[in-house]
Amino acid sequence: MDTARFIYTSLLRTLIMVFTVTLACIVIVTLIPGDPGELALREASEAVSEEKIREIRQLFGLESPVFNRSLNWIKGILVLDFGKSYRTGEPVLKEIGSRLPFTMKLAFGTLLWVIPCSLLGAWGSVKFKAVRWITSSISLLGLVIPDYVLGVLILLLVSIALKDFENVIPFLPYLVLGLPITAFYFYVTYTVITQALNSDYIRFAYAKGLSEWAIFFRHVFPCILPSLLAVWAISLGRLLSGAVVVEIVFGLPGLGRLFVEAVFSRDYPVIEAVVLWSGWVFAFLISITDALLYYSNPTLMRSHF
Amino acid sequence: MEYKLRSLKAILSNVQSACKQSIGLLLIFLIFLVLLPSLTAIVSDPYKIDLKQRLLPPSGEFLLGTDSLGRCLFSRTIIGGRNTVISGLSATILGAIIGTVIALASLKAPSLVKEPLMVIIDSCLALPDLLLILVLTLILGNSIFGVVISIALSNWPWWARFIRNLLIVAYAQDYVVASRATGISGFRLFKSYILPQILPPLGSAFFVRSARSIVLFGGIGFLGLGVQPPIPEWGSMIRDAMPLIPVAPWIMVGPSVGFTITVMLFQWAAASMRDLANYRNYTFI
Repeated sequence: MDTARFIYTSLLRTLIMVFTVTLACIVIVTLIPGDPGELALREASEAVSEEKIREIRQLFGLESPVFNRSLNWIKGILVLDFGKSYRTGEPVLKEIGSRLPFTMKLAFGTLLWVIPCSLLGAWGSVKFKAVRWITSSISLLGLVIPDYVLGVLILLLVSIALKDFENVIPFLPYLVLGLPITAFYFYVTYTVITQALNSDYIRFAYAKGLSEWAIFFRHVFPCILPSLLAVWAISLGRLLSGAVVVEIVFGLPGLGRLFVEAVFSRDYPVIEAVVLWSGWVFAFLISITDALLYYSNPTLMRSHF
Repeated sequence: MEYKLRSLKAILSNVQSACKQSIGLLLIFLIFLVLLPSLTAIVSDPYKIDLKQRLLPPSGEFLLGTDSLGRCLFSRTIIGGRNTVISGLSATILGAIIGTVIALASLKAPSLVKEPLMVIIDSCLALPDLLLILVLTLILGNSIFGVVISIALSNWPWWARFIRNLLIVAYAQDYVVASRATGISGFRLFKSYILPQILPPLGSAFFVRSARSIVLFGGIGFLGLGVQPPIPEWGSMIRDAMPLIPVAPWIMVGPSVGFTITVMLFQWAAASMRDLANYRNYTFI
């Protein structure tokens, strides 16, 4: 298959996915029972009259039929207008824009230590028994303890063990978020690396007398990269949609916390926008990964399409 | 990815030997979890509020101490454990059933149905499960039933994708093609050539996804959007314990240890299934 056709099909697939995610958003939000206008009023005051409810529904634009509302919403999206938050009255884009830097920092910061650590850990544990023992126990810990328990426990331990724990706390979210991912990555990387190391061309590379460094970066890494790229892209997509639990435990104002706050107060425009963002990011990341896979291993893709 | 040709009998005897260790242990744990709450001699009333006895440390009367309302934490942990684990398990089973039906439909249906189905599965997979579950609980309500259905509904696209891939690869194996050439087809082909190959990865995936569903069920409770009080549930117990940790750290112990043991047993069962298949090429996401 030639490159041009590959680009067409992957672009088309991305577009279809973006469209279905948008449609799914509309369906989900229309299905939510209850009146957000009434709920907002009840949160604010005890006395709720019919007239006030109608007024606030008018303000939120809930009086028009579902179809018109959805159409208007899609029209708004095309010019990047996601409506106004029911809770604060601010434009949703501004709300998300103010939360996104925290989530981005968290996502990239976590992957920045997780990816090298899992690669190094997997490589080390193939080579040395002691390293294997350490890495497998750490990854068992990350695999077994749920992140909310881990977050609370680590906070507790740090506050007991360290006197000046204020200095350490900014690093803890990265640790708690990264540990389960490291565990997962470690297992994947370990299986792929053992497979690569057992192959004939690596044995030949050793026979040529190449250094470990050269073998890893020139022979093993290009071979395992395609299978790891997909895994990395998936978790990056998940992380960019907000680390809900970690943000709640550590009180970080990220996207995940915005989403939970929006769910609590039935802030439909914010809910829709966050779900949309995460779906879109995922769709784009998947197609970028596909392109990278194609680039890094053309033979693999030729057999697939 | 390649399957080894084995008979159903060989796989089942391997499953039996695995059962004796990890899967058996898991079963014993689950049975205990279900039966313990009915032993009234061990478990006192988990709903009984006694403000005179609030925040007591562990003692002979209250094995894990009491919480801020003076309720016995031991009985709450056990009944909460039953709620959490059984809900997670049933959500996985439900999701797997829906996923299997959709997977079969996406393989056998006419292409007019097939293609849209795959697009729907892919776009459902694009949405993060926690976000999807939270929105679905808004629709279905946050009773235990509602949360279980939401987790199942967020689970099925993964199962559909997984089972579809499994079947495609299994039917494409050379020995399956060869046996078809000899005239074996239908149920007999499935029973003696397909099922033995897909059983271990299927079992392993089931245990991993169950552990994940249990953790998700707890996670929604932890966020305060899951099962509402006074029904005990591990996630919401951890949520209640969080502000009280400096005063009464023992509130955390029951649900944390419970989560860890449960997930460990499930992961162990999954690992033994994976080992028995010698099936290391597949990653479970």
